[in-house]
Amino acid sequence: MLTTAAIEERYQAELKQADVDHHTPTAGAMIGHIMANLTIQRRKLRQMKWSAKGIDNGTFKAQVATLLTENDMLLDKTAERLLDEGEVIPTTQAEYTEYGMLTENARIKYWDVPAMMAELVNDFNTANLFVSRAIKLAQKEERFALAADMVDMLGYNQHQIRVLQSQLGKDAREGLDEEDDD
Amino acid sequence: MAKLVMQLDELSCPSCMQKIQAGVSQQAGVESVKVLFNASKVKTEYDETTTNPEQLTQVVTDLGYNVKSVKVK
Repeated sequence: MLTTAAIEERYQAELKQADVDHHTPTAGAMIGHIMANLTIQRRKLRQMKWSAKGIDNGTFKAQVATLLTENDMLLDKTAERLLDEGEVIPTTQAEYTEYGMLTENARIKYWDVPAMMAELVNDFNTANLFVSRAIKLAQKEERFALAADMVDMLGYNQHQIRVLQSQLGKDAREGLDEEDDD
Repeated sequence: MAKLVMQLDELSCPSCMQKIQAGVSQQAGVESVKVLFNASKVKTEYDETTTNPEQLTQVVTDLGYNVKSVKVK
């Protein structure tokens, strides 16, 4: 067991490095954001699984239960990979709140299933903004195992987007890409 | 209501979007703000009797982002 002073010294060094990494992003820092998003998404998935109502709610709940299982696997796999790479990982709610970009809303429990599906589409799409950046950074840093995991996650998220969009009667990227008409 | 488009240096992290969105939207006279991550652009609609492009550009600069060019529509 480390002494209290040694633990504090390590934690302060971690905070200092996190600040440096935020201003010049590294793959590790970007994947910290990804872990935070996965953690937030886990809560949202449970919220939807508990609250979904309507004629097809059973099917949707089963789909969300699968997403929950996969979310846990992705979070664990990502954490283990970062540890393999010698990174310090975020572990507390305060860190996940600071680094996460997905938004929560207690009102979601009153939404109908299509609105919940549309929310999940947006969340997977937001998650992929970080994942695609993480891939580029990991490749640039020659951390190929990390990059490979992120490529897998990118594909997984893209697949979930297509499945959910098709359930909503939309094409895979309909309404999701940035409109830049300048 | 006027429209302003700011072209920034490449945004390195999507969380920058939130920071810029929050910073610009808090300015008096700003009606709407949209940050395009892949294009690294900030699009805003504002009341020209309350604020102006220089002030809005300064907000983004003060947040630590370089504004390469601005276009008023």
